[in-house]
Amino acid sequence: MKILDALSIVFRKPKYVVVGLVSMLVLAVIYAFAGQVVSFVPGGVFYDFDAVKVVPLSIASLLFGIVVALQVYAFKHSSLTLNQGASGFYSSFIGLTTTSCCASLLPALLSLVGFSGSNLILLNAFFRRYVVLFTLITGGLLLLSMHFISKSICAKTCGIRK
Amino acid sequence: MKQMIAILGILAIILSACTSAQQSKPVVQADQSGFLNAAQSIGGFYKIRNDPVLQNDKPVVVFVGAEFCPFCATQRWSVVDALNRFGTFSGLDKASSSGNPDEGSHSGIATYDWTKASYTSDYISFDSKEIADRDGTPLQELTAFEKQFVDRYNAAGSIPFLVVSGKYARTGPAFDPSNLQGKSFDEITAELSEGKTAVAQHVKQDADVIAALICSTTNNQPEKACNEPAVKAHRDQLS
Repeated sequence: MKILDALSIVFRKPKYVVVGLVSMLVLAVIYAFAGQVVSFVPGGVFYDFDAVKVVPLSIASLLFGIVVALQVYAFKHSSLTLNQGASGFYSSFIGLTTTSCCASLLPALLSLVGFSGSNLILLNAFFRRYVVLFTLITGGLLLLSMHFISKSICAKTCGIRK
Repeated sequence: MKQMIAILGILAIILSACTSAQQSKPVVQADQSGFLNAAQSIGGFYKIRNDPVLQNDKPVVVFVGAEFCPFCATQRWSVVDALNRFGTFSGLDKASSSGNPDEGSHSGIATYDWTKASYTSDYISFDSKEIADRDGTPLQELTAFEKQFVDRYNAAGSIPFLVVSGKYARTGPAFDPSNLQGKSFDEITAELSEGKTAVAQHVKQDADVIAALICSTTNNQPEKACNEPAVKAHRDQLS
């Protein structure tokens, strides 16, 4: 229940709600473009609201927003180690890599480290194939991150409240 | 401290990758002997070589895509339209990118399935590969010949990737897939036959460009295809 306690402590203050919402929206926008839910194409903007893409990305964005708000709170109250904070970032990064169907972000990243075009095409298909699994991993890591941060927040605040 | 450095490092890589991605669209590294720059590109195609690449002694059109990709689904319509002017497909089937419009889905794009089709022409060869099916499961492997094009002219591995006559390359779709969204295969085919809607115009315009590029390597043969006014106008742009 530490997560629920931490959430109630953090989101009681409107500024952390704003931090969470902004973080969620920023990641949602990045996801939308990286995952090609929204794409600029010749002559317009293409929206591909494929449930396989949209549902996992929405959940990951929501979790990310919550984690960031918790992190900011914890940093501000000096109850979080950098190690714990980093796990939220890494989980989001994994999420980004799983949403790269046809997108330029991941291929561009990997082409920098020497991947060939033909390998990148295969890699895109691989991520497409395992998008549900990778999203589950992302969600799991974000929840783990929430657990650690909540523990840190509660180590100080929850005890005092009781 | 180490974690912070790692985070900053990853952010730096992402930023540089984004920058390089922006700079390299479309990702085509031309050979040194004269290629079209962005201002001179025709229909999004860039000249990558001076001489055509032949397969079976004919200029080759190479397509690399995937069945799950909506942009590839869009691109197939104009490729089929263009290639039909130079030869004949047999065994083309109906398909769609993920989410089938024929089954009521709005997200998929109806298209052709040419994985089991063959193409015969006196003028050109057609070499296509769909690297994955609608679920991302590997479908067709790239040959060494196809890999050469992808590795050299499509460094980011974007799909669809279309090379016309080995001379001109383009990544990405020619037009907005939204035009095809929510329409069944038969509806799109009917619109193309009538030739009045935005879909028909987009497909025909892109097919005209592809045809013009092909004509530039077939000595403008066959005349019927290469002397169509719209095709001829694009040919004039090339010369």
